[in-house]
Amino acid sequence: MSDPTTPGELTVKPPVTPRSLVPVFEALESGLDIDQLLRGISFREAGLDSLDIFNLVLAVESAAGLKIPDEDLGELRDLPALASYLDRRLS
Amino acid sequence: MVPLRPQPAAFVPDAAIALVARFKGSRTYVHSTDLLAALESEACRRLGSGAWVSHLTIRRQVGHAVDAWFGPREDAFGSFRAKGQSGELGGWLVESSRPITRRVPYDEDALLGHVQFEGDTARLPEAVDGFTRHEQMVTLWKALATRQVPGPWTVAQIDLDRPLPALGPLDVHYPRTIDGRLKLGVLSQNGLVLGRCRAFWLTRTSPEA
Repeated sequence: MSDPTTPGELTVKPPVTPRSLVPVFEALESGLDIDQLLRGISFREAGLDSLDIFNLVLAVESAAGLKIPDEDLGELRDLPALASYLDRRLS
Repeated sequence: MVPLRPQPAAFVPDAAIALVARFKGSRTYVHSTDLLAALESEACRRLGSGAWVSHLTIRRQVGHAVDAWFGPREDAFGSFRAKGQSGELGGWLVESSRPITRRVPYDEDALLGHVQFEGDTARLPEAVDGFTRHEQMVTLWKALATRQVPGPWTVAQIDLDRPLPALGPLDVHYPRTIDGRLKLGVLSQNGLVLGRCRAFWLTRTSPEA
């Protein structure tokens, strides 16, 4: 599944850290404060709505080459949790 | 948070234009296809004929006249980009305080009568007279989403790789659904991908939920 609005040229490989995911967020051009996300503020608190999170999931799936099941979405509340999840899935 | 950053190549600071001030059919919100038509017209005026809207995001429904701003606006409900021979432009969509008093007829059922379903795909085999290609595209996406799961689906984001062809079939399918209420849709013609959409199951009035 390719999508020109997601950073298809980016790749995410283990070890996945919050900082290693910064290019994915920057490519989304959402205007987010990346430093806040690195400090662990939740995506919702940072101002992401459902559309942002949808685009984030698609971007991460494209960059990591995996599909995130619906039942796992709940644990992806912030950048550290997302990095930890991806590291676990990719390792 | 300012919505998806347009990053226009032909940036016009602190300028705004009145964009859409009408309702379609019985709707009480501004329809995405009217935004697309108005933005495409403006893009052609600024970038030359053949320009098209390459990106449109709508984060909530609006019931007042819409203005396009070419500088960042914190109160924007959406954003857009357009491409043309002479460059690109982008901006933000802002709901004004001006009421909408104009209503235009829109018989979507007549368009839906032309839609064919086959497997996980919806298709218009030919262009349908009396409807714009944007109307045909959005109707296809909503028709397929509703057929798969009946409910209040809305198209919140559209990305087009190229201008919509005036003639020929249009096909849509949804290769990815997330959490049962977010769908990634793909638009194509004879196997050539034309663009994509994000469709939402409306729980309130916007994907903000």
